[in-house]
Amino acid sequence: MIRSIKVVAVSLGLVLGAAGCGSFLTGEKLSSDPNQPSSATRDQLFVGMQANLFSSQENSVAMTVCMWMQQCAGVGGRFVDQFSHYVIDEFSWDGNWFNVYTGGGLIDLRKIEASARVDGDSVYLGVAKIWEAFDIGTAADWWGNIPYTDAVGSAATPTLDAQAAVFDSVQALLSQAILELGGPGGGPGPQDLVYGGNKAKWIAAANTLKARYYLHTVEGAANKAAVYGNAITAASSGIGSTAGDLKTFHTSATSERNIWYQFQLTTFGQDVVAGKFLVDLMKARRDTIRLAQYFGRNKGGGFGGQDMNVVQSSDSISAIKGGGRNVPDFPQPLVTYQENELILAEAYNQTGNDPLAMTHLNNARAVPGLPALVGVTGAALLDSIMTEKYVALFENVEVWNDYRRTCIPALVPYRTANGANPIWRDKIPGRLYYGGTEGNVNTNIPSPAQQVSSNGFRNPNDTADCP
Amino acid sequence: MRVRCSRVVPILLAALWAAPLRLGAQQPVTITGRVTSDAGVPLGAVEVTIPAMGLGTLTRDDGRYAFVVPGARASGQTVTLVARRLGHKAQSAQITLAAGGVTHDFALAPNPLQLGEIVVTGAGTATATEKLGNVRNTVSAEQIDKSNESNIVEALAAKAPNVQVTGQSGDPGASSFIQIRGIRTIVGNNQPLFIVDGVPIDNSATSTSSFNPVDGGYPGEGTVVTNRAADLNPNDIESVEILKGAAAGAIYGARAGQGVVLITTKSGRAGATHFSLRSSASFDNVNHFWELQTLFGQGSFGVHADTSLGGSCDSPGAGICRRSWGPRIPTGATVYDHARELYTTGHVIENAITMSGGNDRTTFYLSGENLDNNGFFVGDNDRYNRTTVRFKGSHRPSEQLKISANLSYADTREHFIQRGNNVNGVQIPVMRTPPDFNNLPYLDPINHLHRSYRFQHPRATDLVGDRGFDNPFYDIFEQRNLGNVGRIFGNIGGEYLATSWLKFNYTLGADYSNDERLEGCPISSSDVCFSGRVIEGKIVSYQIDHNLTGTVNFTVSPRASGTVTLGQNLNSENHRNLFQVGRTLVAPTPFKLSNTVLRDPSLDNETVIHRESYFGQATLDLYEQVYLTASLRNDGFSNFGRLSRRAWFPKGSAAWTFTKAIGERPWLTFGKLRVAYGEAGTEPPPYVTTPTFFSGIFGGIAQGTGVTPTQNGLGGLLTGGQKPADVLKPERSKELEAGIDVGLFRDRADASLTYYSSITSDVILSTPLAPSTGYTNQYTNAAKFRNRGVEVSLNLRPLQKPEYGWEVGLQWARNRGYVLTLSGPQYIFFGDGVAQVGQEIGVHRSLGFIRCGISDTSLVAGLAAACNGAPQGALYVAASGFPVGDPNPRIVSNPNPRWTGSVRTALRYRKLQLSGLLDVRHGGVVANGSKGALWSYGTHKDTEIRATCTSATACTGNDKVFGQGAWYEGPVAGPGAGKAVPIGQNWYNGNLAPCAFTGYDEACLDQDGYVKLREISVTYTLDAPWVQSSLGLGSIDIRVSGRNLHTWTKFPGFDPETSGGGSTDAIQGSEYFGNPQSRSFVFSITLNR
Repeated sequence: MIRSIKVVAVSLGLVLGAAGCGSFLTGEKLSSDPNQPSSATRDQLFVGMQANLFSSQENSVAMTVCMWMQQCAGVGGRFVDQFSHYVIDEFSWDGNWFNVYTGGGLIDLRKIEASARVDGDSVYLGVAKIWEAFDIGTAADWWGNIPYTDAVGSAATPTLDAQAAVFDSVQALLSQAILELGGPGGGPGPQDLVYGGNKAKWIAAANTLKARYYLHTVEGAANKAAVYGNAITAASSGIGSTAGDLKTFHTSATSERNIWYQFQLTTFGQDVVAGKFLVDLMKARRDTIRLAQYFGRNKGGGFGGQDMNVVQSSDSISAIKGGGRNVPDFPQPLVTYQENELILAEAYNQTGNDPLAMTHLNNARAVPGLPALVGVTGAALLDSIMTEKYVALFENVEVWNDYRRTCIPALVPYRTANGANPIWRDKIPGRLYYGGTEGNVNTNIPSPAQQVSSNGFRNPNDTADCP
Repeated sequence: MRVRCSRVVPILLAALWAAPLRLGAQQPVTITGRVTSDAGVPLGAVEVTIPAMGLGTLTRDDGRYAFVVPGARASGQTVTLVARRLGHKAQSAQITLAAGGVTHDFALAPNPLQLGEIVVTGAGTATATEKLGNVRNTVSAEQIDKSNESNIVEALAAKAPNVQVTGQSGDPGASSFIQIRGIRTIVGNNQPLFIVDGVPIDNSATSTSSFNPVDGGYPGEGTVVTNRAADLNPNDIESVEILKGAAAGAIYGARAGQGVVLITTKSGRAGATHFSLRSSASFDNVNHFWELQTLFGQGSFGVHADTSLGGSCDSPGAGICRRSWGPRIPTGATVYDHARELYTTGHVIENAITMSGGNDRTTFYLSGENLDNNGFFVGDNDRYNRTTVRFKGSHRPSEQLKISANLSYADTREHFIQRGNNVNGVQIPVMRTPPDFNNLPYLDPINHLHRSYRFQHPRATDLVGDRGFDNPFYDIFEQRNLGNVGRIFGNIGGEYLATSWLKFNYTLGADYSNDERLEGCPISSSDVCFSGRVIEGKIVSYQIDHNLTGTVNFTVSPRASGTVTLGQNLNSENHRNLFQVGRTLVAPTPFKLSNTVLRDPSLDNETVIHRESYFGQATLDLYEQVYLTASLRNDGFSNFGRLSRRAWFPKGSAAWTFTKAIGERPWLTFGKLRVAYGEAGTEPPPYVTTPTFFSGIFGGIAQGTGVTPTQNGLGGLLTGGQKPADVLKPERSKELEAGIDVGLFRDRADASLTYYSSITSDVILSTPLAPSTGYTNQYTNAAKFRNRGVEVSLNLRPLQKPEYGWEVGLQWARNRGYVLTLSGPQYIFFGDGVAQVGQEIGVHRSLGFIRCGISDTSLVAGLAAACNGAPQGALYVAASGFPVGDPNPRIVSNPNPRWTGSVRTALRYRKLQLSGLLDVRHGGVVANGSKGALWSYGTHKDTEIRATCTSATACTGNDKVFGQGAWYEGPVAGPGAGKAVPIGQNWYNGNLAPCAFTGYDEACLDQDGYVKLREISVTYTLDAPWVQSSLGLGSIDIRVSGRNLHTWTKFPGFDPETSGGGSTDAIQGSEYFGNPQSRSFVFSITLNR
């Protein structure tokens, strides 16, 4: 019996002894994730934020807009082709919605700004605000009414701000940024992959962006001339040469390459080819230098595109792959001198000053080496300006914004093989579906069907259908 | 001479036994005899022992046994001799150990209800069958043997009601997925906890990538890699107990929410050393094929693609070459059978040896197995080779102490074939190849480069370059997808009888595996592999488990006795995944990272979980008819939330053998009522409670694309999308189970009925957050599920005679799982299904057609008017005569079966046994993405009847009316109702039908149920005297069997028992270009000695 008691005692000791190890459940690799950093500096977030906004300007939406604007076309029957045929759903661009708000988007911009404020780095704050304006302005272009004042805060289901209010916020942000860039602080310096911390270039880009977003409000404005006047004021301080272009940054390193380039290397990427409308337009304009930059040569050694409604011989179609721009480190132009000049041209034309409009149009045409136009006025001049912008801003989502306001160029929408799809009313879609993840959680988001049937699937700033 | 040899061996053995003891005065006593069933059938593997002396042996297949009591221990005393065998009632006899030997024969009555047998109930506890408060589902060694499955999980298919096993394909080493009583959770992989001899083992399955482990791709794609429980040698398994649900598994607390599979391996027994050698050869081939059209060739809108040298099909981007919508193939032209061309007859050769024995103090079991499976794909790159050894031994240094060790080593070599949503896999390319293109030879005869139907004549300069789709033969012969696993697992343990009433059990178990991965994609493959890719990886996993229990036996009075067990469990589980991708091969071979130009950021992920638990169980037996059990476990896991570090899991059960009270009747020989309640949980994944920043690849547009936050040498980070969980408790299932077990008609039949209802609360979900909050998801205890079901089994033994016998077993089960509450989002995706309030768990949410009463009437002008008077759900047909897609997602299908069941039968005539097993899964609907894709490509058999189309808008012929004539049959409404429309490329390659590309899954739903002839076998046992006299063997079993010989199903395509998602997918029943299932014929011979 005594032996038994000893055994019991020893065993109990074992049990209790092990139980005494209070640290068994906590400690390194137990209490926190050993696989990911648990803190980040302002500079690290700034670099990551740029990578995020670069890719969101180059990936799915850009590809879709290129096809809807018939600069590109979809073939092959898979999802890319389906996008081009307006077979889309709330998850088609869910990832792009993430890019606006989550890591690398608004949440990190707010962290960068807060840190810059704490450190009194006004320049850093200004640059971050320009990125915020660009991020949120782009979102308003794509989705119309979006969460902004409520976003990235304590609200679990942020409410939607009216698109016009978001554009007002964008203007305010850009104005503040321009002031702050004149303030103290070292700014992002080499972390700035676009301008290397050059304050003057940022101020110019902010002004061009201001002009861009003024134009996005002009269609429904009561006093259009005033809006155009604002655009002229801003653009006059805008990007003054191609050296000031706001472009994405890439290298040839595997995970730093241009997304358009990366996509063209994939099997799905081959489903995006040249659009017949743009190729034919450029051929008619003898825009040969840019044609070879935009597209590869077809089997016959020339250029051709896919028609949305009439099947073309595949031997006639040019790929995007093979075009001069389709290289790994191509910096995708986002906001450019050409756009700035064409904004001025449009605004002058719309406010009755065709000679100045012509000057700015010809400034833009000079960039790719096109001859100056002479003697075009009025509506024909507007058509020339917008057509030039349509060509110059290839692969840039701004083309879609311009089309929705001006309906230039005159595109024939894709018509379903089985007759007109009554959902689309024989129009090109005027916005994107809200991301499905947001719609799943945020009760403020209308259902996809409500989005389709409200304002003809167009954003509030797009007051009139294109024909 | 032969006669002499056979006699020499036992004599020698006996001499060896006796030799050291001969110094003693006494003569050894040899005990011999024969054991039969009460019907007179000889019974093998009966354990005949003298428990008091720790001596005994097993009978041979002829029922005979013999063992020797050493002279030193035989003094003419009277001892109890016991004969026991699973499935029979144990019998004992008093014998006197007199000189010259004792002979005693036993005739054992069947024990269909397994009364008196000891059942392990987990964590070191065990009880007798009749005392169990839960339904018992046990799978015997014989059933595992008859299944002819090399994967122990697959061997459990159709063995117990509501235990749903799904094999991922017929590939060698393919993983199997097990689901008990429906979907209980949607975190992790919904798999039960696997315990081998008291120690948890790793049963994970980490798929190889589709050559994109880092930069996207699709989760669960790649290959059908083995689930790690398959490292067990099935020949080593003595029995498997399946603890269903929380009521049975509560003793395992927070790891038992999905049930527990308790595996007990074989042990040596005192007595003569037994040898058995099993050799089997199996031949397998594909059991169900897709049906493809063979009338129309490569091209589009009736125009044939230019397939000449230098033609359009030498440019991978050429759209006209992609599909089979060309003109009719001229009669007499050769067509190729792409549905069947990749397959041949595969084979498995398995050799297994076991050796076991021991004496009164020491026992041993030693086994070895080699299994080599060359699968049904042509070539040798679909292969699975497993070599295992196991040693299990025990020794009693004193009467009180028994120490044991049980070690197993497995060396597994896996070669897989890529499948799934993957242009570098075989199924997408082969089934989309036009019937007029010959995939062979896969290398261009002139330039010896990879040729495929989209790139038919590679020039000498085309070594590096995308082929659009791979040639499937190129993948099979030139790719490598390897897993080399070295695994050691086992335990050491001690059993100490401190006093007659107090016993301690200790087990220290370990499970270590190292899985070395190599994925090599050769130059000139398609898509991400155009310049070649190598992925080297390593998955290291180790787990150490310490389990200590103390059990007190008490007897208050003859009418009340019981046990109290207290225990402690400590567990440390570690996983590490290291992967490195190399892009662009320098030279075509070798597949080594050092032979690549560029390397992606490496993937380096590790997880560590520590668990500290205490548990107790008390049992009380009253009046030898009422049995009560109560247990309580307290778990503290490092992955629980900081504020809820520990959790309690109680259990209680009662069993009443009411026939003891009311007395047995001829028609009711046994009756037991049982009720059990228990709680068990599911642990959260680790590291979801702390904030992290992201440095990986993101922002891509398709597989193989993306960027890192780090750019231009400047370190970049992003705030992680996953918001840290503030409070996270383990998920908890509360389950009530009640049932009755009866033995009928003097054990000619028995039946069992069980009802259960389980509420799973605090369901752990990666809950989506509104991204506009800055985060995408957060782990929360967000939902409540309910699973209810009924399980019935009925076994009949109508004929039991010495010469012949017949048995039939029926099982039937249903489960209904519903989502009761969900906080936050409207639905949560997991696998291909969703959890949505009011719906069954796992239903499929997707897009469908505009339908009356379902779709928003504002979508289309005139919809409300058109639907006026139409029945709910009527299909809206637009003026064109075609339906229209509804952009609002809805629940389109339910993949969960309505019920499952099985029928097992066994016939015996003399030495010949015939048995069969039918497996039924009734109901369940899946979106058949493969079908939609093959429609689009014009290769599906359905497209053989097609309208003639010269453009998408100019088609004639093959007119169909939506809603009529089995063409989307059902009520219709709208301006185009009743209009006949041509169906050809316009529809099949249009904007609705090819669901895989359009998202309108309603267009391609298929019934997924089946009736499957899972097993059939004929065994002949040779135990004639000459077997022993001339071969020196006890018996020879010769068996011919078939596995999955036939499947009756409405599902078009491969066998519906597959999954597109791999075994890591919680929801089974998705289909997208998985590899096929197999059927096999197995010949085996087992030599017993």
